Amino acid sequence: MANAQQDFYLFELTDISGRTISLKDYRGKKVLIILSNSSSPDSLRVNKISKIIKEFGSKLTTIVIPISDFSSTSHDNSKGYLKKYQKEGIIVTETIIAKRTSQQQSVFLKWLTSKDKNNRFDIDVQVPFQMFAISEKGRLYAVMAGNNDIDKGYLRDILAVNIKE
Amino acid sequence: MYTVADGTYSSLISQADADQKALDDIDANGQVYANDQNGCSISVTPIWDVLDEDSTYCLTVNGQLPAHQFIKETNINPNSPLYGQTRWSDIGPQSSCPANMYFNAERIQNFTRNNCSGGISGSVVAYRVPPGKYSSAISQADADLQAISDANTNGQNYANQNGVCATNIQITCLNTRSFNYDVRFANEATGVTYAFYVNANTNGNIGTVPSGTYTIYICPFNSYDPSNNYSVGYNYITGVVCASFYSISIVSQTEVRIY
Repeated sequence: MANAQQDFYLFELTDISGRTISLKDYRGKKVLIILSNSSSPDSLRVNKISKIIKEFGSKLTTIVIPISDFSSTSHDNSKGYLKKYQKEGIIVTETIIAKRTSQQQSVFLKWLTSKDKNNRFDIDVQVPFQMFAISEKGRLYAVMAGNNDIDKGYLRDILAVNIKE
Repeated sequence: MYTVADGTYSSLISQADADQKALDDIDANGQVYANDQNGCSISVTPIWDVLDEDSTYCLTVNGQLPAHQFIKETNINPNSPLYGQTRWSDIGPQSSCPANMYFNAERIQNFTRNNCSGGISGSVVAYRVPPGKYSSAISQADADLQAISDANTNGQNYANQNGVCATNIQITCLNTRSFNYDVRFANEATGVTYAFYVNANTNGNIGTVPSGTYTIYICPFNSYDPSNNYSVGYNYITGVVCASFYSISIVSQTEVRIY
């Protein structure tokens, strides 16, 4: 799914339609990564996220990664809220495994969760709607638990920050 | 290759005369043909040359006599990706390196500037003893020992003259929560930790740390509520009990926010 590199822009992901997403195409923009439940989403939060994201327009690219570990049931990528994300211009990747101890964990998730890879944060995958914000220069600068960030507006503030690097 | 095909020329006189016509064709046209084939290429292979004959040293390779002489070579091919780079080349035993002498290997030793005022930390400076600076008629170890002695004698002074002193950076904290917090800045270069106690619902200066790169650890006292949000400069962690921020460069006033 991705290269074992520490440079964010060297990763390539695969979307649910099988197309390759090169993260180098988003250099100069903020990127928001959302780890999502791959089934039974909280539609209220999905709507709130969509509303916040729209405020940033082309300055922000949002990538939703469905995590199989968050769901006890099998999922169907071809319908439901993942399609809703796509319709709103949000990139949805193929479903991946998040467990840190698993040999199958993607190297991109390792980059997001390990300071040895991202040089800044060491926080495991924990809950649906956990989010990661990447600066215009490819630096991971925020790790958000999710729910409060959406409900209390922290997400908007964090995405709006003018980072001096 | 310019070719005159079989049967191009004929002669009523002799075979030799026909062949001579073919040779005359080659003489007349062969070079022009070769020039027209655009076969020119630019060599990118490094061309190493000795530009400074004084840049040389003697070294006992693997501690074995006689010592070899090393000379500095420069790549002078402007089309080479390595243009301008230098290298040391072993040209073997030479009369300029006495056959019965051992020469020291290069030694690089780090020293931390330690004469900054007010307990401010200094930067780390590398002191280098070049190869071949010291010689010994006794042994390789004796030659190397002289290099070590040089570093131990002069390295600290060199660091004190060439290193830089860190400056104290003001740290402020805005805590909008009703818990007290432990905020620690661990300098990743020196290992020194600066600890601050932050009271609930406070805003203001909490102290200073020397400029540098830090791991910053924030944790509430007597609370395991996983709804703490933290930021340090332009770095954020939300929805946790405690948080660690790694490799944070502190070079100007920095705000820690707890909300």
